[in-house]
Amino acid sequence: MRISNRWIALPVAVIAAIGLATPAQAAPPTPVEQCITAADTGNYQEWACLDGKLHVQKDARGKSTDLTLDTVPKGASLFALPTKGGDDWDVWCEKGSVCSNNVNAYYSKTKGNVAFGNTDGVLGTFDIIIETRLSGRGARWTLVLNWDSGRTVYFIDPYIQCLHPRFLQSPSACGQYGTTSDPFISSASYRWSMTRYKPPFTTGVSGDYYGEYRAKFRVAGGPTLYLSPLRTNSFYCPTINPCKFS
Amino acid sequence: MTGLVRVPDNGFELLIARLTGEIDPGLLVLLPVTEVRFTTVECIEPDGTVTRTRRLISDEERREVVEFAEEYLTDAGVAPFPRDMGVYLTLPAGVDSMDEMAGRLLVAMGEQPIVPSQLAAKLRLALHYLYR
Repeated sequence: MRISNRWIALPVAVIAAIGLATPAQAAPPTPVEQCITAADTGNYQEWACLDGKLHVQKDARGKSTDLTLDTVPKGASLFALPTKGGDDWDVWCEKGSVCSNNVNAYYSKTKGNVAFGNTDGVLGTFDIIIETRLSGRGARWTLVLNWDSGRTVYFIDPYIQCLHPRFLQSPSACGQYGTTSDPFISSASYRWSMTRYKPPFTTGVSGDYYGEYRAKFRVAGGPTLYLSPLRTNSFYCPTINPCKFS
Repeated sequence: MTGLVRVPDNGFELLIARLTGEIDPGLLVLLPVTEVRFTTVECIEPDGTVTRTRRLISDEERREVVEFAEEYLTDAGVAPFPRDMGVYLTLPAGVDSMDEMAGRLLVAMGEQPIVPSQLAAKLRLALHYLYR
């Protein structure tokens, strides 16, 4: 498969296919390969994927667009990623696409795996982790960007967007919590994190809430890329009592 | 006073317990943790398949929970509880659960401060009102 001079970003999912497959078996295309194939077929100039969805940012003629395509059919095989760091942030869900874990009613974590590359293949991988900790009617979000392999990645103004889902309407915003600095992760500096408090919800108001991170990043020497949002599990805040994950 | 309840292993609730102990140490009981905790991990594959795994909470996760609670209490200016001890609290009269108690305190405070360092003073006042 040939792809012309273009950078890609691929979130990846996955469960330990590596090490389990037998050499005699012809492995079906991985989600990464399928994403590359879809981008190659469309001859798109800039694109990114998360959770099996291809987001085209520049079409074959270089025109800016906002097109989302499903690229991974049911039953697709899985693709494993290397690890770095070796602690829970890194090791947990290293083989899944997007994982979430409500450790208890007040603490949840969500993780997505990302890969990026060009015509030479995958050039690097990293993880996005969001931890949500609830205290009374307030929340504390920690965003972790964890380099796994390959090129240096520069993130642009990372922030957690608080959202409140609404029936038959787009979610309403409940704040942005981030930084205006542009952190990077690399082999020499493989982890970056920030922690932000969300002001507590006032009593008398109830509802579901969640946070999401829509990564905007630049690979060293490449274009700026976007990923679809990584969304945390929702938590519920009753009228008066503390907020909790269900 | 009414029943004795297990205080969740979370900073806000443990801070309430710690400050209640300032009012009357007899309202607090510490017992070795004996509960078995479970957690459910959910993974969404690229093809949309959702895998849910229910398992025992790991040592790492337990440590994360404990360390956050300790950090929260320290930031609030009070001493953390000993690790591996469960905290039990005698609720005020007319309060049936830890959630209800926390809710009443949140209402009494009016506005919950954002960070724990600003919380303890307001909680102390609200607690005295609740246990009077």
